[in-house]
Amino acid sequence: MNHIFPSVVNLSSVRALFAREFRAALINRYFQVFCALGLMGGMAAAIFGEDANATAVFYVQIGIYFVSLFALLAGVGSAQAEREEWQLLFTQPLPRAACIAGKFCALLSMFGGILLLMFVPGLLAGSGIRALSSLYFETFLLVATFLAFGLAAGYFAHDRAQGLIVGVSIWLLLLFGLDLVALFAARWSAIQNLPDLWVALLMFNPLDSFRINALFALQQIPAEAANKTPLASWWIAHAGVWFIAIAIVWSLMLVMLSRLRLKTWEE
Amino acid sequence: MIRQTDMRNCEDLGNARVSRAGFGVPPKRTSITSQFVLSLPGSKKRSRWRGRARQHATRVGSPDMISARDIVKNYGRKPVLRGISLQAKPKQITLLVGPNGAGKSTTLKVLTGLIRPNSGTAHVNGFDIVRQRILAQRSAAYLPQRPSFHPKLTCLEVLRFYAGLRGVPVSRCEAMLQLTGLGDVARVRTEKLSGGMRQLLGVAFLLLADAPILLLDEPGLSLDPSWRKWLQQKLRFEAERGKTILVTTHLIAEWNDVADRCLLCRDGLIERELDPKNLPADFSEIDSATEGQRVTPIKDSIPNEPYLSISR
Repeated sequence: MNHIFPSVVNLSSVRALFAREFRAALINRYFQVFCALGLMGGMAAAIFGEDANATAVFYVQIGIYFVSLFALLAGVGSAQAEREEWQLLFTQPLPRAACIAGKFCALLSMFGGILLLMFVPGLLAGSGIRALSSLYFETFLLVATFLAFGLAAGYFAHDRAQGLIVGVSIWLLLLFGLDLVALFAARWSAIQNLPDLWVALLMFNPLDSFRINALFALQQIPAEAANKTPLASWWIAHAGVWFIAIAIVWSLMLVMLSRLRLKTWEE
Repeated sequence: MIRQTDMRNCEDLGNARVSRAGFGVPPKRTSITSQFVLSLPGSKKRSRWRGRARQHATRVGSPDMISARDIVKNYGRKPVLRGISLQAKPKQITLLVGPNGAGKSTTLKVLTGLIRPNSGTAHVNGFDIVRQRILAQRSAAYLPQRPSFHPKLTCLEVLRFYAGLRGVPVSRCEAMLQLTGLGDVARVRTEKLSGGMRQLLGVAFLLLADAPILLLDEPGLSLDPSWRKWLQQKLRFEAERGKTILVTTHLIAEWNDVADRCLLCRDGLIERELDPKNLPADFSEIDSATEGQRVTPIKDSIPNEPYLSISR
């Protein structure tokens, strides 16, 4: 049995993978800048937020425009660093999938720590612990999704520049691009008659899903338009669960995609 | 100075090897290099690692540690390996020589599990490199042509990472760095190393796990002659410890009388076996037989135009 399933992913390998990612992140300027900006953003949210709700909305904006982008860039950078030594790394007795999973988990845990740093000022300023912890968890899932996007872009790209261009393009597409496509598509009356299509477009976009979930949860926006279709009303009723599901599905899919890419790397 | 010491240590090892019963049996700890053989400070890890070394040692007795049969590999539509077959035995250094594009490096990449062959089978230490890749990779260590490391990590951190992946005690990393003369730059980032130092770090990486099979792709291209000599002595010593060593090289003259076998690879096939003790003559014979296929020298390809002539 051991012959078929060798105990390749032992504790020593896991520790080595984590230690390496932590060490590489410690000396990585992206991470240093992210830490500093994250802390500053957290303090700004705590200082300038007029009430607990405003502070939370500030955190949502930081999550959408700043955390997601940094997570994506960190993923690209980490995947590209590996590209330089793939010949040494992939001759080690370790499944390639374990390399990706280890990298993903290590980076995610580091981001988890930095996000904690970001959310602590808000907590100290008196925002509700329940609302903030829920937001922390959702931002953490957003990081997981964009980290996976970054790793996939990094592994598929031929060099760092290409990886960064692809990564930032994905981010812009999710942030504005899909909305612009939807606006252009709205010219056709046939599409206007399918409101569920619009809703689905937002639902499957992790950034929109995060935004809608957070804003509806925090601000209790009356969802008059949304309630016009059954899909929209279901989504608004289950926005939190839906975001968790969509973030996990995106992350797993992208990590699996990276794995497939690594399997055929250089072939 | 460090280098001389290491060379001497290497010779010490060479003298000690027979009496100390070879692979899997730790020698007395007397010097850095005797530490290099199997000395492992630390109790639990040490015994676990020794156990693994013994596990390797039991397999060393198998007739062919490396065996490839009819390996075909295409990059797109371009065939690189057209059915290569080779065997390598323990206690031997096997050379794989041939012109550029012959498929030497691709053969090594197939044997290390870096790329999958389109057809054919390859076994490393008895394990199928496609179906039992991880087990096969446990038995082998590979030094690529241009070893490249994480640029922001130090030499010691890089070795510690690979030691962790292989379950090798961390203390061995420093011993490897000392052995390859990199003790002084152990805490220098790899991006700051010269080409030769990077190659030496690659050698340290190669020897780190004490794997029973060593695969080297054009080793020593960036090394100075004394280090190349050292590497050959080291490989000879490792071969006599029971390891199987497969080396690809262009430096035919330097490897003359070092290897036990020499295979000529051309157009993705093993064309013939050369005499390892008479390589330069044997190879020039082949070269003259294929004179018509050789690349035109640059000076002959330059047109005799007036603007190229030198006026006095």
